[in-house]
Amino acid sequence: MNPAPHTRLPRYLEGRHGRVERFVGVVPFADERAIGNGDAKQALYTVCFHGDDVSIMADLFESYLEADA
Amino acid sequence: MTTHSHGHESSAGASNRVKELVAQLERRGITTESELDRIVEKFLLKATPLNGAHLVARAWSDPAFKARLIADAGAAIAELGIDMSHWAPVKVRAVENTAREHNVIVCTLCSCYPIALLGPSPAWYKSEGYRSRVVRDPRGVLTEFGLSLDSSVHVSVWDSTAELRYIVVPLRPPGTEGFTEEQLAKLVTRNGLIGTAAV
Repeated sequence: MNPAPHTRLPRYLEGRHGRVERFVGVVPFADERAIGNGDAKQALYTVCFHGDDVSIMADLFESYLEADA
Repeated sequence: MTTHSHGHESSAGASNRVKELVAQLERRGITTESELDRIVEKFLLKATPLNGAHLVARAWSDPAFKARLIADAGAAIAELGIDMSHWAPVKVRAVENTAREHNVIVCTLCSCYPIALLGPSPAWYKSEGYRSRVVRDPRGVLTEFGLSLDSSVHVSVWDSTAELRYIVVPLRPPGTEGFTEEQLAKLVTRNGLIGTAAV
C-alpha cells in the first residue's frame, strides 16, 4: 500500500470557501520537498475561513487554492 | 513505510525512527549522539517563554513597538536583542487580542510551535484532542482551559505550519498602569501566548 502523500493542506479545510488575507512569501513547497524535490518553491498565503463568531486562519500553498466560481 | 499520514504517528514509532537515524549517522561518521545533545542543549537554553513575555511586556509599554511587532515580528524580536539565530530562518507573526477578537494557536497537522519564544511545547498542545477540537469548537476548548469569552468576542484560530509560527499578544490586564516592563512580563503566561489563557 502507498502511504498518503505528504501535504500541508489540512483535510478539514478541503472544499471550503476562504479569502486570502495575506501573501506570506515564496517558500520551499513542502509537498514536493517531501518526495526529494528540494528546489520546488511556491507562493504561500494566509487564508481566512470566516464563520459566524469564529474564523480559522491557515497558511496554504498556491496550488491548494482554486478561484471562487 | 506504513500507511499513517504525517502527524499521526505514535510517539514510540517516531522515537524508534529517530534512534535508528542517529545510529545510521553515527555509523557513517556524520555526527555523534553527544554532538546532537550539545546542539539541542544550546537551542533549549535560549528557547524559553521569558522571550515571549519580554516581547509582550514591551508591546504593552510601548505602542510604537507593538505596531512594529504586529507589522513585522522578526524585526521587532531582533530589536529587543532576542537571539533567534539558532532558530533561523523560521518566520514569526504576532497576532493581537483586542476587546472584540481573541486569538488562539494550533497546528492541526503536527505540532508546529514558536519554540524559540515559548520554550518546548506542553503535552496538551501536541495532543490529538486539542489539535482536532480547537478548530471545531474553539469556545468549548477555551472554556475547558478556564477562559470563558463573552459571546461578542470573535475567536480567530491560527492553524500554523512549519513556514510561519504565531504568537499571541494578550490584552494588557486592567489595573497595571504604572507597572514596569519587568512587572508586566511576570504577568504573561505561556498559555496566554498560545491563546488558551487571557494573559
